[in-house]
Amino acid sequence: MKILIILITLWAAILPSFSADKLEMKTDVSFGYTFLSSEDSPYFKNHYDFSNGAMLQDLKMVVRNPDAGSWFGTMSLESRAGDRLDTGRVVRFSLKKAGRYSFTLKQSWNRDFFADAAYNYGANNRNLTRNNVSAEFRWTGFKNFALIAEYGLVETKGTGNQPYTEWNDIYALRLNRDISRERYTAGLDYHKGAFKLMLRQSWVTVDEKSRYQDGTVSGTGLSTFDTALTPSRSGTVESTILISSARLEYAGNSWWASVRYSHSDATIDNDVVDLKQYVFSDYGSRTDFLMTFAGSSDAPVDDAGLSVSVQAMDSLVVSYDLNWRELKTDTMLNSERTMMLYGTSDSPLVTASNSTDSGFYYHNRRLNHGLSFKYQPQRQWDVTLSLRQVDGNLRHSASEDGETDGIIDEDYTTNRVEFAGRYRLSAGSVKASVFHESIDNPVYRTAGDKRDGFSISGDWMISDSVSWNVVYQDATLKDDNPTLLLNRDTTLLDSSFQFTLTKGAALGVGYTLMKLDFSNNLLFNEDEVPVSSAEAYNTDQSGVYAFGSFTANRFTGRVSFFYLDDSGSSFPLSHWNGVASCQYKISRTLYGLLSVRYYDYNEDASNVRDYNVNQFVVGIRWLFQ
Amino acid sequence: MKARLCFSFLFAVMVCVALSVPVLGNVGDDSCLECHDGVQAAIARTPHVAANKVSCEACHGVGDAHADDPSVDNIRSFRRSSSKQVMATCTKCHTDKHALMSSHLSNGRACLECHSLGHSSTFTENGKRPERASLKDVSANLCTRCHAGEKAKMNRPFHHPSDDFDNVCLSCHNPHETRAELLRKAVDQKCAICHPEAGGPFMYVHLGTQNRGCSECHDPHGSTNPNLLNRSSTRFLCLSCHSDTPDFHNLADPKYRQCTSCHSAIHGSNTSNLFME
Repeated sequence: MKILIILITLWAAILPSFSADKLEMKTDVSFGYTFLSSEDSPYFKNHYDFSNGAMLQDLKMVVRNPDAGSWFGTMSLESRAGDRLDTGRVVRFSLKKAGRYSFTLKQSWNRDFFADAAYNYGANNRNLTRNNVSAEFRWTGFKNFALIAEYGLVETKGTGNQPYTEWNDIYALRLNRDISRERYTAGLDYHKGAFKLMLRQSWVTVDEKSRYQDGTVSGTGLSTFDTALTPSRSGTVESTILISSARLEYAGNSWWASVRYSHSDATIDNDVVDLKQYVFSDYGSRTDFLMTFAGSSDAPVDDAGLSVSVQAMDSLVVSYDLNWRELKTDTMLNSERTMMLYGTSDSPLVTASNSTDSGFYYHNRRLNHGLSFKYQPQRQWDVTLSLRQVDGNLRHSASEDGETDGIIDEDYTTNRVEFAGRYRLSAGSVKASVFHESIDNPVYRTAGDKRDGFSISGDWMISDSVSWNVVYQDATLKDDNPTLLLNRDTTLLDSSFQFTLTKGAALGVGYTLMKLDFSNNLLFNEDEVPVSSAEAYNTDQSGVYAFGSFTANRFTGRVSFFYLDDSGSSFPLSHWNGVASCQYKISRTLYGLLSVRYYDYNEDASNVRDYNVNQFVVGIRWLFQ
Repeated sequence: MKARLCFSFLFAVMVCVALSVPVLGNVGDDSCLECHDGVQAAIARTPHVAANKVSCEACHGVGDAHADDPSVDNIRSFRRSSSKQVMATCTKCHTDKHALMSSHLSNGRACLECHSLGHSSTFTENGKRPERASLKDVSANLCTRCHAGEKAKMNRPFHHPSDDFDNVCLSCHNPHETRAELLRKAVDQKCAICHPEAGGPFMYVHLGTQNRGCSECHDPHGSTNPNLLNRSSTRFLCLSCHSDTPDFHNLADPKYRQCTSCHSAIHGSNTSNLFME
């Protein structure tokens, strides 16, 4: 919250220099306190931040300066410093002067929390914070030109597990995650008439400095050995990326064209040292594995694009898009692996190490073509035919100590055709589309060679107070290979009614159906005996939702409710989420706030992860103008 | 003499024609506000003000006739305008937008599907939220009014942070340039903005992230599965593409049932071309 305090101080420092009667000021602030009750804290299987405490629910301060000669026109500060009804905290500050400049600073914190010992053996548990800072300054004081300066920082920090397999067992390694991505960008825009040119140059660094937490980790018990693992790590993976991009646009009366090119030049340096010490509890012996990596990689990316749209006739628009993208990585990595067998003594009985110089060259070139025809003879209806092709080539070349280990050079292609139409009625519209996609798989991808799907949707204003909308989508992924028997079928139906009951009161109800059927034959050998088995996954989710709002005298309220039930065979569960909030106007500037949330999660197969939460928020809102 | 007579005759004709044609002219904002006084306070909060050289008639056309006969038929009203008519007006100033850049700009009422009329800044939540860019709604409701399928997904237990402060959709999508966005399928590049641990760059790249991007395995709009995955278990995901796993991967054995237990760096690795770290 340091940045919020700094900005409020800055705010307080700037404003006294202006005569108050010349400024239009508005302040809107809500404070509150959250009470929480839960059956099974602190385990929550969702993305909500359910926690107790005082909070700044909402802050908005806006100052408008009508004085044309002043150095600023609008200044605003907005913040949510602890909105418990959904995750995340945010501060945003902006300063603008029309025709001169604009400046925006934003910082947001989002929590990424997950805790489930049963899911992937607990290896995905995490409690991370994503801190995102961005600043943008745009100077528009020169005719036709805009100068741009941007800064961005994203940090992922906190604790998070990583799965690891050794000795026929799986360990959930505990890491203190520390990954950051920092970006500086300078840019220039030139805009005259129908012509526009945008130039950008960015300098990006990505640092990965995650460390194992102190302590030992036990295996999940899949092995006959009973082991305790003590890991440690040092070193970093550092990447520097230079990104240059240019974009040219021309917007004519009946056509529009854009040409884009960007070149990204990345260098990755890896000097990680990773030590894993295993103690075999049954035998009292210890074995260490020390891995030392030293190497670097060049990873240039070239990206070019062309888009042209032409209003060929009053009723016909023809569009063509082309995108060419090429990624190469050229890696030389030395890895030294040392195994130390200690037995039951404190000094190693056997030490064996080997050092390998691994070379790896990766090259993925992809060319996309897109062509579409939109025919609209009348305002009431239009049809669109779209054709897309992805044409790619993948090359691998691996070597160990100078000897080539494997080479891959394969082409892949995806073709997609889609036909869509829309018909507008006097009080609504109907849309429909159908597509087919054929996939000539790249190497390693051995399943799924065609996708098909369709969708139909509509909206209708039944009367002045009732409207209805509906969408139905179906998509399948299949494979012609009879031994695979791959089938993936997804269905979505959503339909809702909205009612305007009286002035100031509205209500909506809806139903959602989401189904997924997946089946696939597996082909593998076990003890050199071919084995065939089938894997299947099935979900059948039905959701009901309702929402409403009302205003009556001094009361303003909102309610929303959602219920989901998955009766599929693979992961059946049910989930409730209901929120009611109201605001009471105490005086012209003072309001009382009350919110209630009920959240409930139940899995059918086991009640280990089930929980429910009741959350109450009380607060005061002060509006000053 | 004849020439003089001809000139006089032509001059007389021109004067008669000029006098017979009503001359249309701008009446100025003050004349408009005499009747439409309710918009004055709202328009002051938008960029559509005289200080930015925007007058009522810049959008609604000359108001002379309308001032004489206040009917909606003799002034440019946007309530029943087509997308072309709306775009023609808005792009006079907002020249960086073009109807052919995005399907959003050529359907319905174009700009006015999402932005309120230039002088009616809509305050949402009973005036709590600011009138950012004159949007009808600053939350994701702006998009999910039409994209109902995405709204259904956002109601699932796992979804991206979404509240009334910001429109979460705009974190990833640019509604003014849908065509370029869909073609490039640069989904992985968008995700890396907030997820640097998965965005790379990597020495060893997973091809799965290169074509359809992260959405090959994750559903960014919402999921009932942790990590926004399309399946409750990773093996169902991996098998969608990799059906012929090497022989020793006996999926009946518990330790092979979660592929990422070994292939833990599945987004990309800096130590292993098999994504095992």
